[in-house]
Amino acid sequence: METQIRTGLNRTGVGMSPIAIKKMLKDNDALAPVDAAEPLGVSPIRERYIIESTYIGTVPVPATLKGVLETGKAAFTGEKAQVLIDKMGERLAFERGGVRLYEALLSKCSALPDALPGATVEQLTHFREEEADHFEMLRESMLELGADPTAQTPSADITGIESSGLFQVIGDPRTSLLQSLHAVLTAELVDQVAWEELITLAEQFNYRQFASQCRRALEQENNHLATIRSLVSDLTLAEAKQF
Amino acid sequence: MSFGLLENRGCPLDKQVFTWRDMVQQPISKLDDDAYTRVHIILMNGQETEAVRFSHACSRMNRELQPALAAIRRVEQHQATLVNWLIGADHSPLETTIAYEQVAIDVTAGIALREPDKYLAQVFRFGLLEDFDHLYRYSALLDRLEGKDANNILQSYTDILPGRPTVVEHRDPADDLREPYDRAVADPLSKLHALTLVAAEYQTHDYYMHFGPTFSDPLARQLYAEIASIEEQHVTQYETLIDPQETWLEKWLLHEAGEVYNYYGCMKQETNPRVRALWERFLDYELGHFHLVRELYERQERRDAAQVIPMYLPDPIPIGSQRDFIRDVLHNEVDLRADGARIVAENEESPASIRYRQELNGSGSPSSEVARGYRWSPGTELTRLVS
Repeated sequence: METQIRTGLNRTGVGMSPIAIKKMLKDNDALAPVDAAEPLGVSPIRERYIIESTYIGTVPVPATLKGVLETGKAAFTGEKAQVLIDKMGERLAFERGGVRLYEALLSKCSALPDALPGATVEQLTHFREEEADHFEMLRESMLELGADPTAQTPSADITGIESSGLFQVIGDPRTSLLQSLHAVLTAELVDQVAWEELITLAEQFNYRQFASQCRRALEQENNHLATIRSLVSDLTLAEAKQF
Repeated sequence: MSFGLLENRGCPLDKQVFTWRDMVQQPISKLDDDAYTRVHIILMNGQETEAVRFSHACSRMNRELQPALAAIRRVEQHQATLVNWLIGADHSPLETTIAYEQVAIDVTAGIALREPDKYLAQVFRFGLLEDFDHLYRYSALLDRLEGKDANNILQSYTDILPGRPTVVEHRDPADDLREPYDRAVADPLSKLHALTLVAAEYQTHDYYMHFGPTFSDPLARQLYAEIASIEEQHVTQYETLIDPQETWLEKWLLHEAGEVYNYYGCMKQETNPRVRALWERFLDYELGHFHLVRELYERQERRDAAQVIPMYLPDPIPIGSQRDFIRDVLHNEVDLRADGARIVAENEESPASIRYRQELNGSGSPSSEVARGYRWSPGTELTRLVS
């Protein structure tokens, strides 16, 4: 497996075809006349669908809310509970996916034993375990609320789509460890913001015990982010130095 | 309740029109719609793509039928688009794969339960246990690759358990060739069943061929390669159940009758009112196609179409959970193999298939590796592993 960026026969740019590109641009104005450039984003077809579409799906709200809230239970009605449960479902799905993301990364580390120091690989293994702990914490919290942690909430569905590119990058045997770590960095950046958001939401609902658990998870995620960010930076600079 | 073909003329072909807006409708909700709404969509997309495929094959061999084939085929194409585009983009390829296997399992089970011919019923059950195992392998992949629970798609209607292991499903080509029904005496239900499953398996095969290479993970790529190969075997298997003595027009008539039959079945069983209205609309379209082809058939072959397909169709295929039936078949028939056209006990399997399999599995078995130690648990296997 290639571990470094190198120069080679990348054919995608026009620089590789100086003669052909002149022919391609010849008479373009006459052959493809346009009155004015219109950004594709402004599309009557798109707008109509946006206006007419309904929501992706709903949240299964628990029939009864179990008494784990310390105060403000009256505010925790079915109507509002869906917002918290949707986000808890999202975080659960993300953490569960995060376990698999780290497993895929560790698989690459295992195939390339000299790429990272042993202590770093141990750290990444520990991060994987922490993601699993976060998943379990969220699962238990949802059960305590009477919610179904196996349900895919709308935000869980969307986070799955958002993450799909990350899995594709890490899963590709042709991507380097650095490129894979960059994908994990993307995940950890999102993770940090999402935990902060969940804490704010939990506090709004006076769900203090859960907010406290989320703060502990956030501390760990901050450590993940700092470590991965540092790794990506160090490896990128190291690669540049080799040239 | 029987559906009368002669009582319903359907919609005339020149009224079967679309706009792009009409063709690209709001997809169903992956979260809120019943799993069998998705099953109906996948099933009917398969029936439509088979209609288009058959129409092209027929066109290549029958110059005089080309205008009629082209006119009807254009509508089938747009029907296929409208139906297939009801699946939303929030279904990942692997989640859609899970849904495809649910179609294969539950529709094949519904068919096998009611198939009057004992040999055909056996062949359907034989294929059922293989698709059942595919669902298990893909569920393991979805869990271990993407961290998702296949049951979010299956909605607890279909079990996630090992079936006949995919690793032993690979057979010598000769061992996928089955005995055809006799067109003169076969129960019309048998003809409809065989055609329905050929269409479904072909569609599934094509889906895996298209999406397999879009995965970056090499184990996923190998698994899709492996299971696509089995789906090709299934197409061969079900296709050879069909009497090759049927004429082109006879086959065309059966195709249209099959589409009527399956749209009717979906309409009767559909729980989403918007989608039910679509099944009703397309039932009307297919009736229009059927009567056009019936007239062509009776004019050209000078035979009564009722000799091919009764003018009162059988009751629809029951499309729903068949858990108990499937577990029964699993218990009794998981070790069956094939020897030529026969379904046989394991120790009677064709040596050619054993040799073929040894070669193909020579560098390892992706279906075995992906599911090593896998047992489905609600919320993914992590639920079981962390507690």
